[in-house]
Amino acid sequence: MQSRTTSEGIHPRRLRPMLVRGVMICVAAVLFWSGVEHLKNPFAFLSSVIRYQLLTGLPASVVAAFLPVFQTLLAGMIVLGVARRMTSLCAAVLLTLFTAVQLSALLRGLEIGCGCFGAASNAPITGYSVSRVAALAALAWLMFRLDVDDAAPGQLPNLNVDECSKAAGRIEMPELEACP
Amino acid sequence: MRGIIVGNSFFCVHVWALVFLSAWNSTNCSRVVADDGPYCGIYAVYGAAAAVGVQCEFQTLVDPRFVSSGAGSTIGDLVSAAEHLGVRATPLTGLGLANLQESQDPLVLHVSSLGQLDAYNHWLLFLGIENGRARVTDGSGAIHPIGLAELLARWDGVALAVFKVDSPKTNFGAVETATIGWWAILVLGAIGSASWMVGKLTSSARSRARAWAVALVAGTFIVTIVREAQPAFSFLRNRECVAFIVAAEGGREFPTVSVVEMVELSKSPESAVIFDTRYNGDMAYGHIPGAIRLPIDSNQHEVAVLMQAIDHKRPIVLYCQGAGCRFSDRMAVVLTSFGYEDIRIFRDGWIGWEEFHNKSRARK
Repeated sequence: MQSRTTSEGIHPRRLRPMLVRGVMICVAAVLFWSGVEHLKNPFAFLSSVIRYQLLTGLPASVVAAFLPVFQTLLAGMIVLGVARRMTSLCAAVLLTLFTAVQLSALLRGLEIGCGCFGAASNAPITGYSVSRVAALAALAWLMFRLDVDDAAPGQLPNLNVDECSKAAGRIEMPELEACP
Repeated sequence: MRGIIVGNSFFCVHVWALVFLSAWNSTNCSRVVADDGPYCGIYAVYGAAAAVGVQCEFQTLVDPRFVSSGAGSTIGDLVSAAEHLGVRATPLTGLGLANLQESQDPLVLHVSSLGQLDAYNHWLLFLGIENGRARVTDGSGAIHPIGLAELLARWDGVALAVFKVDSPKTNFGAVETATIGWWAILVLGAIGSASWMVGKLTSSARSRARAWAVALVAGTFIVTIVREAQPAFSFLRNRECVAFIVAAEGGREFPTVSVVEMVELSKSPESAVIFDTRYNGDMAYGHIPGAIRLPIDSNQHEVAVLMQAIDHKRPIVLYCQGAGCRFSDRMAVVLTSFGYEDIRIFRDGWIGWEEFHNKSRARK
């Protein structure tokens, strides 16, 4: 078995999954924090949802009831590293949705707080706050692209064991993670 | 659980967040509670001090050191006011229902004004929970109960815990840690169970990913249903509060009545209850016959006392000065939180009423 480390330390091929994992745990922490803050006061969160003027009445109540729970469960799954591809996709989609909603409020000229981390975080939505959540969404998409460990084999290039063994013998191993 | 707040590093983060919040956003009382002026904060601290057994003269608090602007007191002003009275006050933020339930101390809560959820600019004194309802005082008003859901809807999680010097106090940091800890254990336990089931039921990676997606959605559904079983968190059991939030935030348009309809309604008091929502001073210059005073600067207790005698099924008509006045809309939102549904607004208000009658007199 060839060593995967170099004399300088961890091999870049080993570093990437660690980096992806670390970043995804940070994203999970943000989702968990936000979810717990909303769970502590669901009625204040309902106010925040309605303030965006996209949903009202029953649909807003459904979002206010389900979203914080979904966020915290998703964060837990990311931290535990289960179904990594699916959870990183969910996180990326969710954060993109948050970006779109905030952007729409900004474009419509609504002077409202984002309510991202509970009622106390009522700083008005600005270009800065939108770019912050957009950056987080972009990061989640990047991690989704990089994190292919949990991909179904049928979705990956058809490689046989010999090809993989050859690939594993080289320093550059672009297809290594596609091995069954 | 009791202990020392400052020792908890997690809690310190909250305190610093509050210091930042306080500096960045000057917390104050609006003029909504006009009878109490900008003094809602010092009234709350005064009440809290009395609740822990420290009596004082309220007038000593009417000082620029404790009410730093015409708009009211900042949280820093209130801490100084508490120290002036000889009690300790600790600013807290990020609190939730669990903290209210566990609190052994009076809490001065930072809330929105009555009927205006989008601006946290008012202070209420919270004195505990009794029969599932919060005991609060608003300004100089008496202690009265309000629904926990309604209180949560108006509260931004910022509070000032007031306690006697050298007496034990609630360890809110521990409550906070326990809340998050239990939630984390629940989430991790649920995922662990799902992991075991997914491992048993699936073989391929693709079917495993699908099973996890189903588990995530099902888990969300189950946990939400479990939370709905808790009365204080339930949207279904607090429909009045949800209606209040929707009306306050969604800018609900209430049905209107014309001046002709208003004339008819004023002639038959049984058909609807008419409320004048202008300030008491304005009402002294004249009002629609049969109208009851419900000034916009009423506090929650005053509204509750007044509405006790009004049947929930009776139609209600509100008016204020004129077409540009929004006091009626705000009071309509407040009455929604009391469970009234048939609420209408006489948009033309007192000015429209006067003009109509002046024209009628001129024709004669």
